[in-house]
Amino acid sequence: MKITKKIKALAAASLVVLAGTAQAEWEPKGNVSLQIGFGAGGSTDTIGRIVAQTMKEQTGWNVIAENKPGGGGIAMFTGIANRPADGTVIGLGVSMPILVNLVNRPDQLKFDLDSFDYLGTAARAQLALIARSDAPFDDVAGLVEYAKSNDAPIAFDAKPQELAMRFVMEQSGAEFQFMSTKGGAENAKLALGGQAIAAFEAGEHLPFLEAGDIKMLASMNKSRHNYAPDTPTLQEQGYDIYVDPVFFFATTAGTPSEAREALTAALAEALESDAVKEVVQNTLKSPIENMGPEGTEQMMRDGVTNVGALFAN
Amino acid sequence: MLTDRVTGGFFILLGVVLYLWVIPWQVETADYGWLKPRTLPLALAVVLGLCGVALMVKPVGDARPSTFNWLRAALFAGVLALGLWLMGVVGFVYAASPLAFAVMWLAYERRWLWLGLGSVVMPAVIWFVITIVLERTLP
Amino acid sequence: MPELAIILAGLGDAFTPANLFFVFAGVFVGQFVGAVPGIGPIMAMAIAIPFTFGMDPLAGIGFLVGVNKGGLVGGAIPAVLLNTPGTPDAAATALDGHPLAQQGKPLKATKMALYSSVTGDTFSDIVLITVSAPLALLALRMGPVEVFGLMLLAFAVISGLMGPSLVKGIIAIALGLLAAMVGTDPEHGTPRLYFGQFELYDGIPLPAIAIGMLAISELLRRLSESRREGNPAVRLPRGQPREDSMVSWHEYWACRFTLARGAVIGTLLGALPGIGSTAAAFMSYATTKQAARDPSSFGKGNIHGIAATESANSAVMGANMIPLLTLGIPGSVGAALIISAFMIHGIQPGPFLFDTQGRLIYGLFGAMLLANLGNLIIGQVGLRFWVRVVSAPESFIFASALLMCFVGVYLTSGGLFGIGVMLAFAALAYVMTTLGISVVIFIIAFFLGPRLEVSLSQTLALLNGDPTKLLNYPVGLVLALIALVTTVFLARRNHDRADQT
Repeated sequence: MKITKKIKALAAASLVVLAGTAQAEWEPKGNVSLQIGFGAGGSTDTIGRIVAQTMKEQTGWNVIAENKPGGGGIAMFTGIANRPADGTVIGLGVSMPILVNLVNRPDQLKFDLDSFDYLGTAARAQLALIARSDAPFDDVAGLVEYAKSNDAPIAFDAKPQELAMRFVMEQSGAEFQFMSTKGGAENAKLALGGQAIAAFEAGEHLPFLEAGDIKMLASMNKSRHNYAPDTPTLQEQGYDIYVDPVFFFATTAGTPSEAREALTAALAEALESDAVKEVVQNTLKSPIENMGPEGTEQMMRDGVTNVGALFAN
Repeated sequence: MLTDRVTGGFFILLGVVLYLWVIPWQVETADYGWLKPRTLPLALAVVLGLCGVALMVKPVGDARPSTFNWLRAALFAGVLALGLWLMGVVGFVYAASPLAFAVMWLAYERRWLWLGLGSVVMPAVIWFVITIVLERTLP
Repeated sequence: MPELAIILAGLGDAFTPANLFFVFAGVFVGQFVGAVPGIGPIMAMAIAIPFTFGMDPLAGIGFLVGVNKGGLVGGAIPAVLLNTPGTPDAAATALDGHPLAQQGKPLKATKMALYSSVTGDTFSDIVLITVSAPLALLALRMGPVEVFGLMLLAFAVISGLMGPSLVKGIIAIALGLLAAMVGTDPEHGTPRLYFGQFELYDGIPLPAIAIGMLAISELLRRLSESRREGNPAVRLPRGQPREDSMVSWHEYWACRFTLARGAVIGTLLGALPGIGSTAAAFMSYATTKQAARDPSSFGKGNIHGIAATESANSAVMGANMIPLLTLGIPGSVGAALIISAFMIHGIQPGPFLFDTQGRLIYGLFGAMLLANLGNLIIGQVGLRFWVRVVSAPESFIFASALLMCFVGVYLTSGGLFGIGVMLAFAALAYVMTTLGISVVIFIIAFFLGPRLEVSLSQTLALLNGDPTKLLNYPVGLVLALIALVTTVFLARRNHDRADQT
């Protein structure tokens, strides 16, 4: 199977060369390493591997996926920021953990937003605030009312989620308790088991939503979710804050423009392919959303402002 | 007995250094919440210090460092650390063979067949499986 | 519960030649890779997942399940033969397996591990297939307070393995927990004790600690004792009587209570996400030792010790599928990898799974049972192969094992930095061993530490400063009480024994 793939890739590559298309203008010297800022087996890993495999088939470059876990991508981006800019490395990370560290402890990081050339984005994680369907409220206002007279433990698995709810607490005068967990699946368990009155979910909740076991109180993103167009965002419900984790690609700043353009084009082409579309849809429950180089950079710069607001309280 | 007393002293020192210096330096504070970042580390530093005191006062006497070949173990550990450093400089392909050879030679292996199998064939097989079959990278 | 026709069709799917092939291939790969020191079943699965992108869902998931189950059996092999467990859950197997192998009975020890593993695994698979729904409900009821109580109980039971000195046992626990504090703190998400090394942001990588402390330190000790004669790593006596290289039905049957206890402990802990097979293996080992008439024979090659650990750690894997399939909650890293394989194929585990994908699920159940059979068959041949391999000169075996540990940790735990961590902890383990501080207790504490801190933090959030609210959690209170009683009982028993000697 491997060998036939290699032959196919070689054939595709030679076709590209023969046809003399734009892609042949820049060729990486040796391998292209697609570094994944998380360990093997998670959604980022899955997306990184299918993108790497597709790029390899489409371009004929030897694209190798590598796991560089540590600090939600901090370790990987530290490495990428401090290496020669030769266009042989692409990093795949999630915006939120990077932004949180850029805002909170910039002095400890060996990079900033200018350390990278941004290449594009894969998708947005659609983050929802949910509750069990028998909860006596249907939206954030109801949750706030409930919390004014009851204990209201909320399960979260990343700091920005907690801070967004502290923002709500501050503005509304209600009091929540916060239960920190190790991930969306544990949040779902606590909500279903009744130990948490509300919880954050990024896709794990969809079957329960369909089954009617849980309901969605708000979209935490800037926009509503494609599967629940009737549930308003937290901003629409009167709290001017959002949490918008985006899967993005970047390489070392100062990469020669022809290399950068070739990488951007190759990445965009891979993200257009059916195989990548399907895997991203299946793992994240979100459609592909490629903001392009400028859009990605803008998203990161806006993100710093928003995360700054989250932590200001 | 003496070993236990020295060990006890070490853990008292460790507990104090952790409590007064390392934890305040390396763990951030938080101004709200029930379980703060420092709560458990500080508690553990106290526990370690108290255990050190207990060992000083009432040594167990089951430590027997003399039954171990400290020097030779340190020698092998040194070889491994050197091998790791070499791997970082020249990569797996060039570092694995000398590392395996050094370990085998120091373990008194003198048969060329086995030396060859261990320091040439084995690294080659590992390299082949990881980089060619599984398409992962090696240092 | 789907109709009988769907159940039968699903089970039938598992037996198509293609699926049969992939399940057995998975078991073969898993056993082989699991047996290589430094590379465990988890890593084998992580590597195998991209290969399943293009496969049919049942074939792909069946293959992964095969790798997982094969890896569990394979993982016991280096633990028994070389005393170098590659994963912490096989560390308990080495306690009695390795002494038995050293007595010239490596085949008997590994076969007992194989049979116990398949027994525990089959038991938990049957529980999964028949009563997963009520067990999943039970797991939902186990909230943070109950889990914290259970963690206390786990620590109490395992402290029975501490050895003569209570103080040194506590030191081992405190050091292990302290190592577990490195990384991001659970409640506030701030980095702790990482000394500017961003690789440590997510904590010290578990494979680097486990392989360094359990495998590398043992290899260092063995190498430091090497002699000029060129000994084989494991000696196989010539003209060995047949009963020393096999496990008789009589011996197996004599372990039936041990096996059953291990299987039940493993199944219960496996159905609860987050506690894991290492704790199950050690809890089963510790209770078996405490319940035995001759506790002093443990650690010297008692086959009950092997039966207790292998039946428990393998039972965890089958039971991990209970929260996974019914609630979509992975109970372990291995289960998380299987979830991602499901998701790649567009299948979201959860409440509807049995209705919408009934045929696939029963196909998966068929594949799981087949994988157990595959383990038994392939293991028969595989064990002989590995026992032959380790009868090569020890210098060759040890050097090769070291290289594989390097490569395994490089691939799983952050590259060269991970190898450095591995070597540092190998040195620490060597020093701890010479000082009589238990390495195994350290590892268990390190392993359970993050979950302990998270469930403590969650419990405190639930109580919200009011201890009387504890009365709302009777199950948690009872578990904590049993933990207390166990600790007092074990401490007094330890004390009595110390007085006698």
